[in-house]
Amino acid sequence: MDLSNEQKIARAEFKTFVETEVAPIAATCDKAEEMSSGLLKRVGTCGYFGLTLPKSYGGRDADMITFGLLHRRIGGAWPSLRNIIASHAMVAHAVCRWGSDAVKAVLPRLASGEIIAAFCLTEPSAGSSANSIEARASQVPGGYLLNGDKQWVTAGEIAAIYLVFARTDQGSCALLVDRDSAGVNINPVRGMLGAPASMLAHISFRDCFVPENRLVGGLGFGISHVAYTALDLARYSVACGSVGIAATCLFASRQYAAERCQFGKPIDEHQLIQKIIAEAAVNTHAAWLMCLRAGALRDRQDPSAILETAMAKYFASRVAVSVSSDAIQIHGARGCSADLPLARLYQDARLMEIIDGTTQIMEVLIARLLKGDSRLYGESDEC
Amino acid sequence: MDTTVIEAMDDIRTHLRTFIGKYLGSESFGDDENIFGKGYVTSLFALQLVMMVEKKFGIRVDNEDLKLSNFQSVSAISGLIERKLSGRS
Repeated sequence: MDLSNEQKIARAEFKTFVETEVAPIAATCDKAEEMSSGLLKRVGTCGYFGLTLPKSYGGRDADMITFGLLHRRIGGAWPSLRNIIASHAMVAHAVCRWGSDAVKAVLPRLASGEIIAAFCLTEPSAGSSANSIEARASQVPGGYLLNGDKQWVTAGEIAAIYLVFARTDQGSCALLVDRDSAGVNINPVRGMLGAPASMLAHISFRDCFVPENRLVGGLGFGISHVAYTALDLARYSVACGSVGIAATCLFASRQYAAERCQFGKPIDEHQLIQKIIAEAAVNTHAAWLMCLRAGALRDRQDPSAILETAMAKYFASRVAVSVSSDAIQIHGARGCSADLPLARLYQDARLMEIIDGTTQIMEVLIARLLKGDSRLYGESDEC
Repeated sequence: MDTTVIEAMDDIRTHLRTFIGKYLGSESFGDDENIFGKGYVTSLFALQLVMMVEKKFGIRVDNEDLKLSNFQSVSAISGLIERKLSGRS
């Protein structure tokens, strides 16, 4: 699938940005478990926070392929940063899609990155089972009183605004909550296996008043429409970011295997290494093609985009884990050293099979969605 | 009511029944049956339904349309689509 000229220009722009501004600080910041506020400002200045938002809201109105190119490039260098950008994009996308005019007033500030947004769905007893959330939004005069606990919130420590999902008497709802609202308590999380600079936090809400004009979407549609719109975009980001991890690791593997000599020749002339590299290349390539296809379907607003995004996320995340593991194997002890990014990316890759829908949930989802899609190797078989 | 209008409404309902039916397997359902309340369909399906309706009928489901009364049955969804097409929603 060929990229348009605009997409190629964007791809080159992203490459330069990552090579000059992201890659040089990723390892140090991950070790410190601290995201660079200066870099986040640069992400905002470059328009990456609002990449696909309409220009009327200060966005760049880019297409989903371009979004994928950005998330692949950043994801291959610093998954912590991709996590934060994706989480922010989830909220912006959901607000743009389902917000009232009052709610959408926040979009220019999201597009510029003036404020960072975080997505608050997961709870101690509700992870994959999103419909089991227990946070409650009780209707009171002028708005809602929010009570509940959210955990593993990406960018929760630095966000100025949270999209929080809760139950009401009329079903689930989504509320935009300001960080400095009374009753909001933020507990930073440290020591995570991967993407340690994602600024995770557990967030509790105690009698937190949220004005009624901060409702996103209708009562009863919080999870089915608002959350799922956001999660659908997140999965696309994870898929593309996973390809980024795999691509970075594959490139390193190829370079190293061509230079490292053992038993009198470069190791990429030994068949067992050739097998590893061949499989890694085929899988990485296949994962990227799936991402491009999902992106194209998303740009056409084709309902099949949901299925193909889930398939891309499922496959690409597993490829990231296997290719990053292979890269360490090829590099030997050097691959385990902090001098190279491989060990860091190996840990980051592990998250990709968990966040925004675990591998197991993706399997169930794909099977269910296939029931309604005869086009994909089904009766009509239009693939 | 004009027969052309009746035929168009029937087309919408037929299309909705076909789409929803793919996810229900052999389960049968009436046009006025609450497809979400009976657990026939999931949250995931809800988003697909919106995308299908928008693409197939060239309408936009807005924030104001997100009411349970607009989505709980084939008749309700069909009514929303018809209102959107006629510019009454």
